[in-house]
Amino acid sequence: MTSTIADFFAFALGVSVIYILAAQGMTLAGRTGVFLVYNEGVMQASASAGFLAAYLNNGNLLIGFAAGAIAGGLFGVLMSFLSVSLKQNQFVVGLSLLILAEGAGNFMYKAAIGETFSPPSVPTLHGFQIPYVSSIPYIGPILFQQNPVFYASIFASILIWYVLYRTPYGLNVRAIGENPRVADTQGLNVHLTRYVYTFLGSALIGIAGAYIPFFLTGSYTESLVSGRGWISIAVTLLGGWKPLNVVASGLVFAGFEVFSVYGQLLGLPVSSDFLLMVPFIATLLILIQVYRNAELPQGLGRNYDRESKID
Amino acid sequence: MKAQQSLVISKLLPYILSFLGVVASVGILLALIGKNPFEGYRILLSSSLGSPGSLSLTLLDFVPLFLMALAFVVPLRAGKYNVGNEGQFLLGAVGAVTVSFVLPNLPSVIGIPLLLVAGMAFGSLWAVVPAFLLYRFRVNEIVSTISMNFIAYYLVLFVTTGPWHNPLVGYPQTNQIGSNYILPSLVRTPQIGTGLIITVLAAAIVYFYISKTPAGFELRAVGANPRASLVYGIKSNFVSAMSIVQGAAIAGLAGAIQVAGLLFSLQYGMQGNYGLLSLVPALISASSLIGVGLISFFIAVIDTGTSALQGVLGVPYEIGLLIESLLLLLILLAKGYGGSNR
Amino acid sequence: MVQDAGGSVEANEGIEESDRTANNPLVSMRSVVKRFGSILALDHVDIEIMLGEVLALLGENGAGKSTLMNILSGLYRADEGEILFEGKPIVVRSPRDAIVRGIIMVHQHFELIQNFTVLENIIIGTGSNEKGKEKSVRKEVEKLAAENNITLDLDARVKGLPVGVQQKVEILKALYRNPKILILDEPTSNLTPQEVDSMLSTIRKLAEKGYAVIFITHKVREALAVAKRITILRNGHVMGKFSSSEVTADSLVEMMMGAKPSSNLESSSHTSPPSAEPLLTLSDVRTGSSKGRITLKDINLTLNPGEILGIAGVSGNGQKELVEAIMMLRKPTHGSVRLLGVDPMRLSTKEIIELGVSYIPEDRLDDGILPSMTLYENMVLGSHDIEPFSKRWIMDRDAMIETTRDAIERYRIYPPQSEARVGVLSGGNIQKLLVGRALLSRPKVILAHNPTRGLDTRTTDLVLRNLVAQSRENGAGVLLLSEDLDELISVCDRIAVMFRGEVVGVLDRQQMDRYRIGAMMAGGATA
Repeated sequence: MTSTIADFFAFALGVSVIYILAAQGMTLAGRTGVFLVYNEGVMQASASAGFLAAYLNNGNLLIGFAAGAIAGGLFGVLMSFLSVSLKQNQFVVGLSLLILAEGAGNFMYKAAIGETFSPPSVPTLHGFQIPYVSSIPYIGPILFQQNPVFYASIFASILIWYVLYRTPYGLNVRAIGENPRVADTQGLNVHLTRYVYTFLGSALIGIAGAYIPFFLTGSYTESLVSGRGWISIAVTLLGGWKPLNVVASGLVFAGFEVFSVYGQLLGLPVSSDFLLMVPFIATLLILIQVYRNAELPQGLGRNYDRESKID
Repeated sequence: MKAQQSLVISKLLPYILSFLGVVASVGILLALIGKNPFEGYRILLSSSLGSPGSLSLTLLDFVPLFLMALAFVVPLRAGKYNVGNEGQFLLGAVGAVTVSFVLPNLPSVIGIPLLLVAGMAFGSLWAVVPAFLLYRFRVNEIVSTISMNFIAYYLVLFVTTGPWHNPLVGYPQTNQIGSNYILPSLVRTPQIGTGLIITVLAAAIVYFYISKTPAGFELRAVGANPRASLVYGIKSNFVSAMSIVQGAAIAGLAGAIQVAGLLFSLQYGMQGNYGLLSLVPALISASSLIGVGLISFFIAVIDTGTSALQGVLGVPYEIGLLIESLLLLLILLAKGYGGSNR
Repeated sequence: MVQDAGGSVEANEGIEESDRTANNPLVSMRSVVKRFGSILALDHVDIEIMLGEVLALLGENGAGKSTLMNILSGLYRADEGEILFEGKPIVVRSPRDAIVRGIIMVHQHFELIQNFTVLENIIIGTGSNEKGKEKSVRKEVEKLAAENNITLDLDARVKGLPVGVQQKVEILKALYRNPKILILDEPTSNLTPQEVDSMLSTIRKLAEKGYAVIFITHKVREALAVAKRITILRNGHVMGKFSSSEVTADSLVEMMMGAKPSSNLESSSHTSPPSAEPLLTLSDVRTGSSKGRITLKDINLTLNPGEILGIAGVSGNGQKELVEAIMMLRKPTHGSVRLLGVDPMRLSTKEIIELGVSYIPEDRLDDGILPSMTLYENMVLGSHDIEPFSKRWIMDRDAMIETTRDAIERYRIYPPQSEARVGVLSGGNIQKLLVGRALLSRPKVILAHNPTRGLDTRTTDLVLRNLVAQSRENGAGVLLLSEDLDELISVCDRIAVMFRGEVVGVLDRQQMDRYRIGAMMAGGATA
């Protein structure tokens, strides 16, 4: 039983990487005022790109992650071009790209691999035993035997927090998300910054997508993402678009997901169908709390046009 | 008169250019994966429009697509994104089979309307959750309606593997509904079913509601500016929450028609890609229902044609999603360059 | 020097004089043209800016003053013309290009980030809050504040700071950027008369210190009080350039408006029969607290038939909350209200409107219009579901259009097309639409919040005339909330002054004095 609990938490931390990276990506773009809604699709497309790249390179996951990041980043560029430059509604552009990404993911895979009886696979990520501390009972297996991407995602989160909240550069970046006109009149480059952060954020979402086959399955399926992209939006909302809070809320949602899997193993007297609903029901319940004291970037979701009417 | 003509042309130009762009990029895509583009076009069109039989297939696909697009458009006019129409569709289907299994012996005259109403009611009720959360707690409807979709998938899985499960098929699917619940078809070739008639009727009602009634005015006013609407006495929060419930009724109707007119049972995964696909016409042409209808038909053509393309040429079915999203993106691009934004 | 044909022909010695002292202008803008779509906002405008003096850019709202300065500060691009800096042509593509040359603009609509602190707002974009330097930056800002007699809490969040304080933050923020040219766009709007005096003296001192200060204003008195030179703009043209010592206020007004100012409105004062029941009575009204909003504290007010009751106060002292409480958009938590003979506490906003209350909201774009919808649909908003616009659940398009045509004619709304989308209307035309809508059905009570803000004199006159007519001719009660004291004094029968959610006094016509009201607006005195 104790080892089951340790397994539960260890697995939850592994799953949390998906949510943390994707939500951190949304946070990056969101802090400059760009609201990304296309996580679900972009993660599917980059899972496909990442898997194919790794598979075609003898299972090299590094190449796979790079491909996932590039695929995600490409969607970021399209997003910026249509919304930042051409001023089209961010939700409309996001949903359009989501459809494109959903199609592209499966299309690429089928065009490259075709229908196969048993799907090709790559080796999954290995736990990384941190010397000394990994053998501490309970805590060791949970915290210090995770795969390297877990540690990288925590490090990335802290870095993002530091840059955004502790540097003059970060203040300027956040100013763009709060009030692009102010930022513009103070000589900051609103459009360029939004491009860069939408690209970086989408690349992170891409890495999150590539992580799914590399961590969970080792192979690509059509329903690989199955709602995790949408949940990552809830993660961002719960985290209030703040990098450190996003880590915490990523862990919470990973807990729900893993619970729905372990609930069956533990033999809970509930149909597995209902256990699978748990993360989504949790999302609904948690969102109720979020909007009570939300402090969003004030310019979130709105495009900026320098010469638009002010009054 | 001439100025008017050129105005119409300049309004349609982005759509025409985008359409041509889509045709070209599909050809390139086909060539890239080693298929003959012209062969591809031929199969795509002949299998969807080439014969009365293929036109029937396209129209069968058009019905749920158009209704789902309407289910997205109605809330969109109030500024809300009902991406949960897929879940509402499924619940409508659940409602339909529930009626037929609980009251197996009703005569068609009562049974079929009851089945359709049940579909609408189940769909709406499913949307009451996100609508309430929006109204009471200002919960973002995109995330909440999507969550309801996933809950609906597992609910359908539960129903299709439970007591109503059809043991003769190795797939999560219920028993067939009684023949008294099956929608009659009015014309044989091309097959025009009652479903199509109901769909056209539903679209007419939606049009009338949105553009002619005070309630529809309030819907559009809230979509245009919820705060100003509130200041002038419209209950903005209530109107926008209700718009999701109204859209959901149409999605539920689509699910019920799909059961009673095509599948005759509840099937896991029966929503296909209708949720995603329905966004395309709605986002392209939110302000014109005729436009929504035309684009829905275009998508039905693509959707039917790409199924054949997969069968004959082995082109992945997902090329359909690519075509549809490209159309949408190219239109956004053209609108962006034309200097209009929403 | 190019003079506009319709402009003044007076040769102006002022410029020659300053030419002698400063020789060459620091900046000249030559023949600047700017179009917004089909509208010509600036038509070959020339101006010169000298170090060490205040230049007033005087003109009505919409004359093109802000547009011209937005071009100099890099926010807008000119379609034609050139900018000379120290005699050499420069290209200003973005605000950054202007900032590096020391051209800093303080915009009329505050450019502060509400969620950031004062210090964070001051250092945005300057890259000077690096870890090690944080303390020295703070010292620098504190020193700058002290030099200019500004006292500020640098760690306070901007959200919730009074407007006067935010104005100071803006000035400090501009000074921190080491300006040579300081452009102040209507910096005195929304200040009390006392604060205006202090602002004007700050402006004078800045010029004495050697800055070139451009003072954008539509107030002749203030321009004369502070500027050495005055350049007048009207409809995108320069109408004349003068030394302030050689012109009179009357001639400036005439050039600004292109005509003699029309007769004023104050003549027709009102005496209501004391026996008449008030249209609106507020007794001890309070509202609950909510984020970033003022709470009303024990408001007592009455509004009589045929009366215009003014509400004076610095913006953000509870005026919006007051009208929202009357409209039941913000339910009072305490006290009682009597409105047109009924207790409105349980009524919805819709029912309040149906009682005969009209509201002209302050925030035209956010609270007033449906930008993507047509003029006629906007015109009926609020009465869209009653006769004659709706009959038996169906809207009557012809009735809506007919009513809208009348309003377009009466209020001279441009473009005069019922089917035009309201999003394309200018601020002034939007305001005419809102006024037309408010007066559509002979209201008994009119709540008008800053109904003339940002309007030119003609439109202001039109709006005020219609409000006055409603009270004098139809016996409506008008609650006029305004930031313009002159306007209040000219049309109101009584003025109530609000400060921090309270009514600190009600003055009748004999007691109306700018400085007295100003002191009350600042919380300094009571009636």
